[in-house]
Amino acid sequence: MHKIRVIAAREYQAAVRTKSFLVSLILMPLLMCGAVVVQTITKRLEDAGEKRFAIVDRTPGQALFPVIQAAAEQRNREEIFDRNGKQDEPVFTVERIAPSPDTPEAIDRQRYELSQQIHHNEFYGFLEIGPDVFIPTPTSPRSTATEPGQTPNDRAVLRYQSNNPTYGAFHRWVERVVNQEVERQRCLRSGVPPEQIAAIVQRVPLLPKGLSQMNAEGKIEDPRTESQAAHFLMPAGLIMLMFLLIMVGATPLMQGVVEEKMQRIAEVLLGSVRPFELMLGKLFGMIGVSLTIAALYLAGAYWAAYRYGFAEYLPASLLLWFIVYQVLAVLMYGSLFIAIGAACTDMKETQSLLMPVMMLACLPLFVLLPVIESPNGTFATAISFVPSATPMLMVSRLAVPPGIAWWQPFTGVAVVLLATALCVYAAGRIFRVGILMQGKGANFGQLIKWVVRG
Amino acid sequence: MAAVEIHQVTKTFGRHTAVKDLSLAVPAGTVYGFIGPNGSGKTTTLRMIMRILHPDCGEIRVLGENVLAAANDRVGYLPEERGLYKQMKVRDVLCFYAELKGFRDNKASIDSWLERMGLADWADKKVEALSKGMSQKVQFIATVVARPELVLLDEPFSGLDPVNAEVLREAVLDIKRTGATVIFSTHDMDVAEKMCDFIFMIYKGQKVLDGTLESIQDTYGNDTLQVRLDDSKGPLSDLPGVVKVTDFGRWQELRLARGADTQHVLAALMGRGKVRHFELARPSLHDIFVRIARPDKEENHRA
Repeated sequence: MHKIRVIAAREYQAAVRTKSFLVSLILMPLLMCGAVVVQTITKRLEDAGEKRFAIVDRTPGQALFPVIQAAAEQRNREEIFDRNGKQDEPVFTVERIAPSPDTPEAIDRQRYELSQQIHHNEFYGFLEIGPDVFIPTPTSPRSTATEPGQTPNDRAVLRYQSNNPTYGAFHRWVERVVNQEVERQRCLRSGVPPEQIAAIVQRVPLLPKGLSQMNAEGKIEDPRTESQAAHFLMPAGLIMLMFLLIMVGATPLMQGVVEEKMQRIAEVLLGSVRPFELMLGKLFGMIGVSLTIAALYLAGAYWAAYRYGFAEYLPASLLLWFIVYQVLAVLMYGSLFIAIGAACTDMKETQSLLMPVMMLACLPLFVLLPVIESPNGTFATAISFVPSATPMLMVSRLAVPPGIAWWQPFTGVAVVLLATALCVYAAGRIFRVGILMQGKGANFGQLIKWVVRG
Repeated sequence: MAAVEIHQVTKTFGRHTAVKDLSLAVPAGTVYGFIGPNGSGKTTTLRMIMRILHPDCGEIRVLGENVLAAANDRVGYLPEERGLYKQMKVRDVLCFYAELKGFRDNKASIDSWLERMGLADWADKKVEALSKGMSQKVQFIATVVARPELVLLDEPFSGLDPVNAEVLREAVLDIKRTGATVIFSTHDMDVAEKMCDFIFMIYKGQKVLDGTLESIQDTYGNDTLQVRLDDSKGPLSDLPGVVKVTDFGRWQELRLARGADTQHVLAALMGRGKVRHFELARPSLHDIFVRIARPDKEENHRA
């Protein structure tokens, strides 16, 4: 046991005392949040400019253009700034284009000419308002427009043409503005005062709540309003953290084994410790490393959750289960990575053997969505007992209220323990043969032979 | 008591037999030299003594113990290919190896060894900064720092300059003086002749020599003439009773056929030039090694 401790201590120090460890410690959350941050920043950079749109209003008297123009001016004055008064959305400028004569050829001609102008960046896009938009049609033109092979009624639609099909902010905005005005006009024509419209179409809100509970004094407490986003982010975040901890811990472990083989350190070590002790020492060292990172990140996450009032989504029992499964996952995957390292003679060779292990490790990420949406469904329950996925999936299922049956995480631990014991045993046998082997690396057939025959 | 007893041990790798039916007893407190050509089974034998490899059959007792798969804290091992963690500091790596052997209070011992090997200034440098000779000395300290009773050294002197080789040789003899047993393998026959109490030669996995230098030489008898001639005319291989000539340039070594008369050889030599040196000697270990590892065609023919 003393030797295992000495090996583990060295592995831990070798991993933690490096600059790359510190860098990856900082980089990892940056990478996780980075995508979001970069997106926001680039969105601002890109969006701050002005966007010009051409409006062809074919309604009688071009009645809608002034409304759009007024709405755009109001929006540019009031709605494009963030809380700090900094502009974070583009200015919309609209320009009236006189409608062409009402013949199909002339209309097509005008659309083509405007398209050319968009090509030359004179406009970002153009909106064409059909002449009959105020007249309600029995079947919605929109529903027919989506069916292929049918010509929609072009006269009662808003038609938006642009070179940027993915940019939706303008046409969402203009659709709302035009429809509000069209609604108002239709009301006036039907004799209903527009002021009543708001009252008539007002929606009834729905509050998502947890279950009511009785506190110690026998008083029934009103449950909090559930945040769907928090309930989704918590399990997803935990699963990502566990995945990262496995990769961050196991990859250097494997590299270490390959290095020890290449530099013949292994032989010196095996003069003092048994191969199995050496492997266990390495695994314990890795557990230490992963727990160090986990402690830092979880403390950070807990602090953030506490500060923003989400602490109740991260209960102590969940953290405890996370740690338990974290340790088991590190043992299970770590032993596989070590075995691969021992079977190869350089880093390049590890790639092909690593592939199936990586697939196993990624499986929980692929099924994350259905598991979180229905954590107690048959699929989620069944797949969370596949040992390679158990640690990550069991923790994510635990993170979604109301949790899972009490026996499931315990049974999961038993299943993973069994699989871990098998992995460590098999890896130990591969390690024993592979660690002294030089020259060509082994393939899967040989690995299985080593495990069976030793 | 024997420090190492090997009894009818065989080890094969696939179809290749590395060691075949080997028996050997290494007396405690001696320096035992393993010699043999490359690939003859020296390292395999050392690894089996270390329990890094397990024999297919046979028995190995180390320091009286017969426990298989025991990395013994009483044994120190210097492998042929040196391995040190490049990123660690010299003192840390030594401390690590000492603790692996269960030798915890090791600071004073490490310092005194570093001092002795002339590495005191390098204690806090990283291993990657060391020269080849220095890292070899560090590796040697790592082997002996935990005061093992049995020390196995695989090619300890290869690649060292004469000064460092001398330092290491002194250290090995000191270890012997403390009562420890030293087994080392070497290709340097001169070192083996001078340092070893016993010499063991393995060839193609089998023991071919085992004993003191004297007893080995005795089995070959006084069959070697060392001669030096001035103005030598032509080769000496056609002299009567001479089966082989090894020409070292300034002097020659002649191996005599069994029962050859040295007087006749001397007489014939005097006809070839001015005889400066004429000595009847036992064959050197080098010569014995070459005779075994590279038997001449004529000898094979004769046999």
